[in-house]
Amino acid sequence: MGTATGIIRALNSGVKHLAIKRFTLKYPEEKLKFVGDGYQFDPSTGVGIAGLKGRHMLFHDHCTGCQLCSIACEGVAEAIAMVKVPEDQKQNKKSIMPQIDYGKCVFCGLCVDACPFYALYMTNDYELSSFTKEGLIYTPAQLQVKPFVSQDSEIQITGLTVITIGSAIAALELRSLVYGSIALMGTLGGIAGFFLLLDAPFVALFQLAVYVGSIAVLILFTVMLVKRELIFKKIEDKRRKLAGIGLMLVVMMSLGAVFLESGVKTITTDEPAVDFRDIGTDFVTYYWPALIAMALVLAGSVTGALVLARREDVENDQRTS
Amino acid sequence: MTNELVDFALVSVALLGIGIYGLAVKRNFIRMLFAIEIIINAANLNLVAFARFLPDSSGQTLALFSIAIAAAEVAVGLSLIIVAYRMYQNVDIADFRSLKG
Ligand code: SF4
Ligand code: SF4
Repeated sequence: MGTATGIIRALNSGVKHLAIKRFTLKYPEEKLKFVGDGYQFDPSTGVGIAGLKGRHMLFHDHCTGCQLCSIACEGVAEAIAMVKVPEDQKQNKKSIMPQIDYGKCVFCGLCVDACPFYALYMTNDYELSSFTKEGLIYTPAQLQVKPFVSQDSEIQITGLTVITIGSAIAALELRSLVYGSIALMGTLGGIAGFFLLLDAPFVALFQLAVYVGSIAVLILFTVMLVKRELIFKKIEDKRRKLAGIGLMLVVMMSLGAVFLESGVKTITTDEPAVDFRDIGTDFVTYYWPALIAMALVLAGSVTGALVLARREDVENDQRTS
Repeated sequence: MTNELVDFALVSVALLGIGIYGLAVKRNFIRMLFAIEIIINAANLNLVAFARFLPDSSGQTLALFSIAIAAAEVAVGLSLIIVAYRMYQNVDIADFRSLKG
């Protein structure tokens, strides 16, 4: 008896934890989200601006080489060394600037407080690992680089998603077929935007030229060929619509769950984008039979389409073309 | 790259869902063509996204092929629409049943 209840209780608590939101982040797939730009200090008012104390950022055009940051650090970690820099800043006659050894730094932020010239701030960059000790020593030139924490592209991708999916729905649901095809152009253009975000400008241009430029216009013209009342007529029945929405949700949920659970989440890359010249090479080397086949298919289909559309004699129902 | 592959994959899943909905529900031939286009675009988006993250140029190459083939498909589809429209004066595919051989 005791064993049975024990098993049930164990299962119960296990199941409960499936539903509880996890408290920790799955680093590195998930990263911390920050509000500000990191810890900063305003010497004129003597007030610090709250933020993450991560890697420093040095503004070369403000730093005077006064060494106050280095002195502040002496009592803490001795992480700052003043080094010569090969540049002439007019406010920095000695041409020395701080170099920070992150093997020693404890991220206390006292150096930021000490700097009277708005030259030293901290940023949200906390991923500073390196394979060597020397790799942890950041020179003034490295400290000058703004860490790559881009929120812009996230905004872009959200905007594009809204445009693309919104106009896809509009293309299917707008009452007028004309507006529907214009909305379809929005979807196709949104996809081109995604291609740009994915560093595939060539495919994006191709998409714009072929889809938005020709296919959408072709569709628009065909729509205008059909009778006016057909443009506005809605042909669908309620039950099918519900079933269709159900089908859509099932597809989205299942595929979405597959993607979220699979290893796709862990795939990230720091490598540069593919050069579009590689695509050209692909076309003429590995894919050349496909290229020729495609040319034939295109020619054939365009001719076929012309022949089909030109036949005037298909007036009665019995003749099928 | 700060955008993640999942984001793009999820967008394409959403587009695929919308396209399937359109194919299942609409009986207007032209709308169904819209739905097919949306599905093809979802597939292309996936191809290019994976090509960016693996990174491998074949994905983009295949996406270009796919766009070109889609152009042919639309041309044929539209001419079929025109022929069928001439025959039936309608764009409802339920009316096209007798097109079956
Ligand atoms: S933050 Fe680092 S470098 Fe700055 S004073 Fe503290 S220990 Fe030194
Ligand atoms: S960073 Fe600030 S405190 Fe440090 S040397 Fe430059 S001006 Fe002086």
